[in-house]
Amino acid sequence: MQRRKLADKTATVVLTMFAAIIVIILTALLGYVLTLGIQQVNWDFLTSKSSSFRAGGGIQDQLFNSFYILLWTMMFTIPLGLAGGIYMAEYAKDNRITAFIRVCIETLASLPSIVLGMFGLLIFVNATGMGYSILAGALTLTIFNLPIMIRTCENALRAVPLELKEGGLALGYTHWRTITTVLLPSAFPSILTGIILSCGLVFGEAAALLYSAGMTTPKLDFGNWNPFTSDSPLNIMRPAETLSVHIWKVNSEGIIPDLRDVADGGAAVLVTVILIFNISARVFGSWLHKKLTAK
Amino acid sequence: MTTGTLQDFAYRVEDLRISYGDHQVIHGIDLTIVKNEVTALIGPSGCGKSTFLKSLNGMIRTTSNATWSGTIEWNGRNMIQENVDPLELRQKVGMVFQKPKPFPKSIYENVAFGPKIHGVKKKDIPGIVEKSLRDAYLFDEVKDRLHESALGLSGGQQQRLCIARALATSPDILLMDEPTSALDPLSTIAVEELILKLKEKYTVVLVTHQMEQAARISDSTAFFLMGELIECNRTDALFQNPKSQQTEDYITGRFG
Repeated sequence: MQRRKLADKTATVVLTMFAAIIVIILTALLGYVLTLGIQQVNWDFLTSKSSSFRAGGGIQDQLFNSFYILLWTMMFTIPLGLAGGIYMAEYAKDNRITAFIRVCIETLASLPSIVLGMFGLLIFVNATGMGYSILAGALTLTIFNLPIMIRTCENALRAVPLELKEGGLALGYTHWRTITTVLLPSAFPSILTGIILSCGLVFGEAAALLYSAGMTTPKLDFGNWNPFTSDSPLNIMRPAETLSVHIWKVNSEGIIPDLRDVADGGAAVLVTVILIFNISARVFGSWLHKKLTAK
Repeated sequence: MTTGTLQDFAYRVEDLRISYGDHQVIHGIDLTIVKNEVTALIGPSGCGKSTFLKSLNGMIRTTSNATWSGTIEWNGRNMIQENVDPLELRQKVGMVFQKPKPFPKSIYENVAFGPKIHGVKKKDIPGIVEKSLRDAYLFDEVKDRLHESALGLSGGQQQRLCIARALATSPDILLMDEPTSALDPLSTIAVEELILKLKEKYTVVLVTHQMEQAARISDSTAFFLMGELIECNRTDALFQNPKSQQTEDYITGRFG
């Protein structure tokens, strides 16, 4: 009896300690990045072009590129991920083929992102001949993000109570109509949370983009909204260096005198955006859940 | 069976067999379910009464890989041999489940959910919603908050909402799978009273694990055991004077 109580107490203490360690590591890391970087960040830093030689460059293009590639990645990933998730949760039979697909998804999820980047280089950049481009980058990131998205959607659909599905079927709804009118709306808060969380993941990814979206950005004219011209920021066939690639590049091969400042400032912006994604996923997800199930 | 008696039964089941893979769970059941009566299906857990109920609207084939054979005659057709459109079948045969699970939508939308897909004109839907809620004796309790979430209702109200939802497609038959087992005693009484009123317009097939409930509200009772129909009779006759020893053992509480 005494021993069991002791074991219980020890477990509580040890587990609390581990939880505390996680919190401490995260706060230390964030604190370090933010305190170093936040002094560099001002409106001018966010809205001026980066410079190759002189000090005082900003991250305007890189910041735009990161969001723009994210947008295209999500346009590819969301429909594919939904389709895959619906298939795995609702249509896949419990057999070997399904087991095989599951292994494929899991393997894809655990591939190092630099390998995906090389794959993107070979297939999208070289084989199709599109060169370093936003499209090649977004397609590579789609492969990077797809397994997570499929699993998010599958789990969200599986978490809907079976009675709701039966309720739809019992009213004469077909399987497909039951999915679109009952299952997807019920699963929507969790799917949305998953999407926003993976936005953070995609936004911060660098390795997969080095050789797909490239490490340079052409001179951009933010007044030009015609996506078919080469200096338009909307052109998806142009190379695009994202913020996290920029941080890596400035740090490893930059020759500007203020490279530490630019890297620190860029990191602070990157981390802040990802934090916003994560926090808004929580807040928005629970708000939506409350709204849909509210009393 | 002549056409004259077609009017009197909702279902005529003959030699119904159902298997999950190699595992047979229903072993040749013959049962006629009379219109505008409450038929109770009783028996211990795993006796096949729920499986039998779910075969009556084809749900057993939609939600599992079960196979079936025999005859389930409904509306002049054998559902097992002929291709009956699930949409048509489930419009005419409503189902209420064990756990009250309204859709996470408003009360109004829950009831309007069925009529929407059965081609009801948009302007007729509000009337159908009100009538269904009235038939389920829920309207007066919810009329001021029709557009609020159905999940704010109490368990008993939610179950009556699920009944209203099933009534909204104007079925002839209601299948109920232990509809009160997740409810408190007061809500149970409300739902039981509702079932008694429903039989004026509807045929009710009720699976229950409470024998008292079967005795209180059903007209005839069928006793299932191990996938077989042991005895089916008028409810008072079955409870007062069971023909089979197994039935007597079960209703006197010797097993189950």
